[in-house]
Amino acid sequence: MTAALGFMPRLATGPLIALMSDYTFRTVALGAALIGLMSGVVGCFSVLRREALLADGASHAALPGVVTAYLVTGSRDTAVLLAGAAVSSVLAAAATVLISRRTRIKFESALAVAMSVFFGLGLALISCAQHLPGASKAGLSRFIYGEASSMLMRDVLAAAVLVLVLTAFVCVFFRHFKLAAFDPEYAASAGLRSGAAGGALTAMTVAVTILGIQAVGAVLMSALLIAPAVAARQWTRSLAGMTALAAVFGAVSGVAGTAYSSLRDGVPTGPAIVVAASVIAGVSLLAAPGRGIAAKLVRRRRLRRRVLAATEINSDTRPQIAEAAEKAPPGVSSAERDIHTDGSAAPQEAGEDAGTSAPEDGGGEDNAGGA
Amino acid sequence: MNTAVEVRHLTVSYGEKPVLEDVSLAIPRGSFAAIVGPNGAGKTTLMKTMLGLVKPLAGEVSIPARGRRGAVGYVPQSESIDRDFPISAYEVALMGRYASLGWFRRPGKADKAAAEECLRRVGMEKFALRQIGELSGGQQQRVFLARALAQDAEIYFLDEPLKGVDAVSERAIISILRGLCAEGRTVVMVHHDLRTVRDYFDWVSIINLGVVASGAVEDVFCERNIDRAYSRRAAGAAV
Amino acid sequence: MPAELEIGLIAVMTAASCAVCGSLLLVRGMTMTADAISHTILLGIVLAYFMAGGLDSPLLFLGAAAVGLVTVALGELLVKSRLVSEDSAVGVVFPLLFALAVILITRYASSVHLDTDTVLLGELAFAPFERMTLFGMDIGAKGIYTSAGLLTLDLLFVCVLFKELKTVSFDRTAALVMGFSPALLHYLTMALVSLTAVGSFDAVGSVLVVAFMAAPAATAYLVAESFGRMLTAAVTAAAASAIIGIRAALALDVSFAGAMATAAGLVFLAALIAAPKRGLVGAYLRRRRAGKRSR
Repeated sequence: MTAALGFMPRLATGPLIALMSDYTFRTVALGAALIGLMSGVVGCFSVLRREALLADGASHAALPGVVTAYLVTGSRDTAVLLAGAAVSSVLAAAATVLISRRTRIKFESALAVAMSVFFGLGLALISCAQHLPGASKAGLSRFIYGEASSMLMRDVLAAAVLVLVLTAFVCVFFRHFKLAAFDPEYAASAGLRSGAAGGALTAMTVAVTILGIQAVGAVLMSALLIAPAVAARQWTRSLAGMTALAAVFGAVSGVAGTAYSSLRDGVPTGPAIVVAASVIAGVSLLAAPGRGIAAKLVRRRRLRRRVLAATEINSDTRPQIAEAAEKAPPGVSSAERDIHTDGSAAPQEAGEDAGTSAPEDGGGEDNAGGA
Repeated sequence: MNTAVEVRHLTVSYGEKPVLEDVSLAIPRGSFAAIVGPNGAGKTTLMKTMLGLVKPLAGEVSIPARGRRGAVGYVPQSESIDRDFPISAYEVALMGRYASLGWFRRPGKADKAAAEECLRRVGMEKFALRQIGELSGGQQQRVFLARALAQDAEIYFLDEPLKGVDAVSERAIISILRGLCAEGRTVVMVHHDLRTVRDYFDWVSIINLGVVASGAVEDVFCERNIDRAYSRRAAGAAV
Repeated sequence: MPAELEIGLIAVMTAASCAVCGSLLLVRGMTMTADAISHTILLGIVLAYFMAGGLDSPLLFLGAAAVGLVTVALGELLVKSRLVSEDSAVGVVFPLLFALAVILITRYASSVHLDTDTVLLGELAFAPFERMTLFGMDIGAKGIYTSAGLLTLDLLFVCVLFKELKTVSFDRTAALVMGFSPALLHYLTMALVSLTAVGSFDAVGSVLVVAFMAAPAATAYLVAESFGRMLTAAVTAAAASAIIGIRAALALDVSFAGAMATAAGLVFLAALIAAPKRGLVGAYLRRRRAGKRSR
């Protein structure tokens, strides 16, 4: 360890070592790492279940619960506020599910309605609270942007306990969760209670989200769930591997973000953590072997070259095809507008559309064979 | 100029696996043509590439009619439509007129009358004001057909219009499409049911990754070609 | 003009323009995009602020709209790579851009008045203090002109491009075949959403822009049977929510934005329960009737 540090530029090692020995930093970094770890694990399931935005909704919807808990009990104790947050997040999630199941409104529109209205209600309640003595607006900005630096050892211990519980939970019910994430219909037919597993996963998402608010804030919490999972997905095919890797990515983001914000004056911790997680996701998306964008581009280009070469050789077959069409003359007059295939001449919009809509639209029957 | 669609050396791939490989075929004008093949053969992709919705890796498509606005009509697969969209059957039919109107211009009296007439032709005039999702699958498909009729196109592409359609609607749809061909228009249709190919169509392209056979139904729609198309798939699946 | 009337006018016009944008988003199943855009335009404002050196420049509008488009484009790029599903793409892109904005503000602009709270939460109560003057004459609150301008722009957009927007939202492929470029219409719509979101800051704050883009449109979606009527219904619901919200805020002495969003939620709730065909009660009765008939 020291040997490795020795190679680093003097400028960086000094503050880093100072940082390592700083108690507050160690506490906050540990807390952030634990929250990142949990988010990574739970986020994998949210991403696979296409519930990624639920975290965003749940975190916004927690506001009225927090304020009500404060108004009712008058206490600023974290546990009390978190309980309030949990109640209102769950209510919002339930409303979203009810609306999307019972009416023509789709899930994500229902989610947007529920979360924004809950948040508005929270704002109205806050302005009520501000009429009371001793309350201030500071609480709101803490809620929105998070305040990792205020984390105490007690909070870290609580997070550690939750990590243990969640990890045990995920390990025990891994098979159920896997089915619920990939194939809820099969799970139901196999007699597994996927509804219960799905519900448990949603509850876990809400729980982790609410805890994460303290570290990164309500607005940015969704990134902490999604980014590590998206990054991990690029490196592995197995769900177990993805979960483990996402946990690591989440923890690393937590520590890196905390370190960066401690070294640079005026950089808030929450956003720094989110940027760290996003950088990991970005690098993974671009450079992961096999799946990454770079690898795909290279392979597609090679394929294209091969196909073009093959087509050139076969071009003598054209007259035969025209014969097959009997009445059809082989040539094409210049007045006719062709869809040219080689890049520049292609109509812009056709090209764009091919990229965005083809994969899903074609999925119906055509991709079935490819898979 | 008797070819309605010509496709030359078309290769299409989503990602790295080709969905279509070196496909070349031509469909003469005025024919009622089916594209058939097993599941995953690339039928929908072929149609989408013909329409210019999917950009091929190599090869080209030519549709001589394409020069005029609205000369190419399209009827979507019914599942691809958002049934909850707030729109009535009449409005869908009227949409067919938009193609020739172009940007910004609004439909006039003649367009509205045409849309109503087209709804009548498909037997849906009684349901004109129904929201699209309140209609049955067959009725929805007839409404989309009315839209295509209202467009007054020279060549129509239909993606499995008979999927999930009741027998009455199926007969109505086929007789209308035949009428279009009799007027010299071309109808190209992705089709699933091999039993009805002989009764309905006069031209068929059997595809599976590549073209297995393409030509007049009586010439190419034989057991041998069908077996070739459908067993290649079986062989592939076994590997 | 009394301050309360000015506030009411601004609120109603802002709510209405958000409702128009929200309807366009909802019929495409993209309401959460409003959430993403309303957050990331903060980055646009910050960047434009650094360039223009003040908060009064029209650059702010342009910068914000540009970043709104960048958000959408980045998300689509990710989806297009087929590595990330649509909702995850939104969930990755917008927090990153928002985080960058917050870092830039706290690090480089903390001394100036670029208060993230105001941007996010808005403060309608202060709107009458910012005056618009013409030849030295006070011609009303500035917010009135901004919101009226936005509303005009939004209404013009949907009126002029009504049939194109309807076609492309309902059946994208058909629109493309008919020669209406879906990509162009899509990005025009997104630019409009971004502009509206920026313009609505002062009134309701960026977070509550989402409420006004989501709730009135969803209300209208439950009661309307055609696209045109949906737009009218959304604007009506938004205006009603704004008025109810303002009244309630004045009576209860709470935040305008909070009360307006809550009112929008209550109006939606009313439609959710009682909408003639699509409401919960209506659906329940229909199910029961169908059950009886089949017996």
